[in-house]
Amino acid sequence: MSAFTYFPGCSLRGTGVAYDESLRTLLKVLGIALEELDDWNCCGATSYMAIDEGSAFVLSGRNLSLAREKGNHELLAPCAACYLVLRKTQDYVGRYPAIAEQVGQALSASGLPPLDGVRVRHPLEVLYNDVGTERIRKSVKRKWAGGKVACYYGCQLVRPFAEVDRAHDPTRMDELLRAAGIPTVDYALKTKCCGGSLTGTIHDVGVRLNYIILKEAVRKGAAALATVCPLCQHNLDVYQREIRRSTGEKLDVPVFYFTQLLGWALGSDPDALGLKRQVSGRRLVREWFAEREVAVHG
Amino acid sequence: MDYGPRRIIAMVREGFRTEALASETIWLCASCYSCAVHCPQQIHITDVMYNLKREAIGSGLFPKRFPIPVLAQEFYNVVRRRGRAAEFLVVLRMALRTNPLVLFTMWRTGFDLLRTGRLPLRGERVRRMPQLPREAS
Repeated sequence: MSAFTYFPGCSLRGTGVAYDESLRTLLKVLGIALEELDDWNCCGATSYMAIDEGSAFVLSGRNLSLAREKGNHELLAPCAACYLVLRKTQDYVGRYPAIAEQVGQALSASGLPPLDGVRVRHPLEVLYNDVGTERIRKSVKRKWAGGKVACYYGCQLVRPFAEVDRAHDPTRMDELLRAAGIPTVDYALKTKCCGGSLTGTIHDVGVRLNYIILKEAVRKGAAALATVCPLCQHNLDVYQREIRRSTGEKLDVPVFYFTQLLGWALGSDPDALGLKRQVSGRRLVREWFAEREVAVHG
Repeated sequence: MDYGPRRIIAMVREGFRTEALASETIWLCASCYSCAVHCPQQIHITDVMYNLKREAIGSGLFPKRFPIPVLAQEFYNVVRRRGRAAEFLVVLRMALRTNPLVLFTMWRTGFDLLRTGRLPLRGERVRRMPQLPREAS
């Protein structure tokens, strides 16, 4: 079918490794080829941009330029922060001549081509637009035996560029999961910020935001959450023990990447989807995935 | 948060430069762009906050032991040297510069991540480093 140049980004090499694994596995099942961008660098996201904006655009510019040099101009960026900065770089280079000049000079000094002509894509939108819910529905191999899922979209994927989905009420992850037979709940906090790196800096503030998002999902009847961003997944997954201790609540819900859930429904091996890498809700993860291999149909 | 975002904007407009740049508020902006898409005047408030952060770093007025600007600096330093970020290194360096005691409260999280194979201790590097911005600016 189609092919993409793949920009994993730094988080998918660390805390978000299950996103990388599940994305590769899922796209392989769907016949979509990925070729990793050779020698890619940090996208220049949030923390970097807070120190040096011009260099942040140069960093993203190099990745875009490498993708162009490679010939396949469809660049797939699963991390919400990477996706946003790559898009923002294209947008600002087109809008502000001073930024265009700085990025252009840096690229030509490195012997790299201009960055234009690359299309930055996100897996959520590729699965929705290029694959489509109908094909997902027809490709389902396993019947869902778990609980309801709250789809959490986070902030930077839908804002400020509402290209992947609607900024205030995104629904595409819900539509994809439902097509795979996974029930989702109505969830008003789906685009509220998870706090980003605040959990690493002003820890109490960050964990408080995580708590609100998790608590509301459970209140809506969800037994798990699905995410599209490595930082969201990390924040919502790894601080639940602390939340239990500080609030006294029995919160222990698995937080998945949407690619893990789709990959499982489409018949992939749980290990190849990184399903052993969850920190919270491990009992449910074992119950839902590992021990229900029999429930295969079609 | 020492001032609300509205007050920060008002302070900037009225010339309270030092107070605005030394505030913790600007660093608490997690860059979620919620304000930017809600603003009826389409003001890029997130970019305003980014600008204030950079000016606070440039003028040295940022709160020195407040972890957020320190994390940003360490993230920046790691990327400048290696071309890619390494979560482990960035957080470690931030903790050492602000409050090393937090490392004791982080060990459990670190252990969970190690156990699930999510915390590589060796960061990656870009091969062609000369193509990246490196000099201090």
